[in-house]
Amino acid sequence: MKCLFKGKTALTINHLFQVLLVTYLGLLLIEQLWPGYVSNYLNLNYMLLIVIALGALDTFCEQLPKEHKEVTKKDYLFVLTLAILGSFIIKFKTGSLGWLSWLISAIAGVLILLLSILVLEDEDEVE
Amino acid sequence: MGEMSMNTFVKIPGWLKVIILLIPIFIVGYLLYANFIQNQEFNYFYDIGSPEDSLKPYLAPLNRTSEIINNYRNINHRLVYFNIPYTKGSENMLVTVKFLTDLNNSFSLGIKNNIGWNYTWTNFDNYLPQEDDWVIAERLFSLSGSYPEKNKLSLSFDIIELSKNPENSTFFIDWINITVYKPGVFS
Repeated sequence: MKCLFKGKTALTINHLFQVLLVTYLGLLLIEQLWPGYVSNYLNLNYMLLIVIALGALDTFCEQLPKEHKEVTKKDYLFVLTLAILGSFIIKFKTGSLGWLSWLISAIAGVLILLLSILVLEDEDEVE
Repeated sequence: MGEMSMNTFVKIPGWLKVIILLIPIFIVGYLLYANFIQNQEFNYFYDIGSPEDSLKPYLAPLNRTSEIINNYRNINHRLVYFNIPYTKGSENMLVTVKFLTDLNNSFSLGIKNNIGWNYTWTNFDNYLPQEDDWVIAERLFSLSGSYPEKNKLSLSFDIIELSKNPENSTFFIDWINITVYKPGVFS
């Protein structure tokens, strides 16, 4: 694919896309947990449009080499924290299902953990 | 030269990184301010008989209201319902209704207060006659003890007199205007 953006411009678009994507997902999560806290003041669809546009621009950016970083204990700890957090969120949202919600959230937590470890170790091998 | 550029990692300038990071900080800050600090007023205007109302009727159930007649509808049953968006922490709301009836003006508004069919009923206390016999009724209702579901609060009009002789009575409704007040932390 033809690179329309190179060097620092490409990196800036990529960074901006990542930051806005994470922000959008975070706001979406808040809206799911506490309906109205976001949507009453901010139309998330407009933000989604911006994120999609930046994502599209990002595909035309030059792929720059990244610094190699070893997977450390910190990364595993971070993944474990995310898995526990994800599990709690799913428990919170499926609470009305009774005992089944415990099962679903536990399975989801394990899945998040295993998939994240898989991605971490895969990245390590590729590097 | 080419080898050198392969080994040199391009980095974003620090000031640009800060500017990019300020975007989520600004959004989160604004949401915190709007949700918890600022006094808020939300206005909801339901134009009964408008094109929007014909596409998605505001009042339910449909068999308790007539088809659209000259930009308004006739209510033919004592109880009709509608929903308003609800923001947590809302304190009270000012409800204004424009109507035309041959009945006694008095009617009440119910605010859902519990699971199931449970409403707190309060009569409108301020009736302002308009031209052409139309009347605007107005009242400030407290939202304490209300029971919103999925971010919506169910409201109902009870026109008691319609239960006596619904066939020969009319209660035309033109619009409903609702202003919800949500105080901030420091008010």
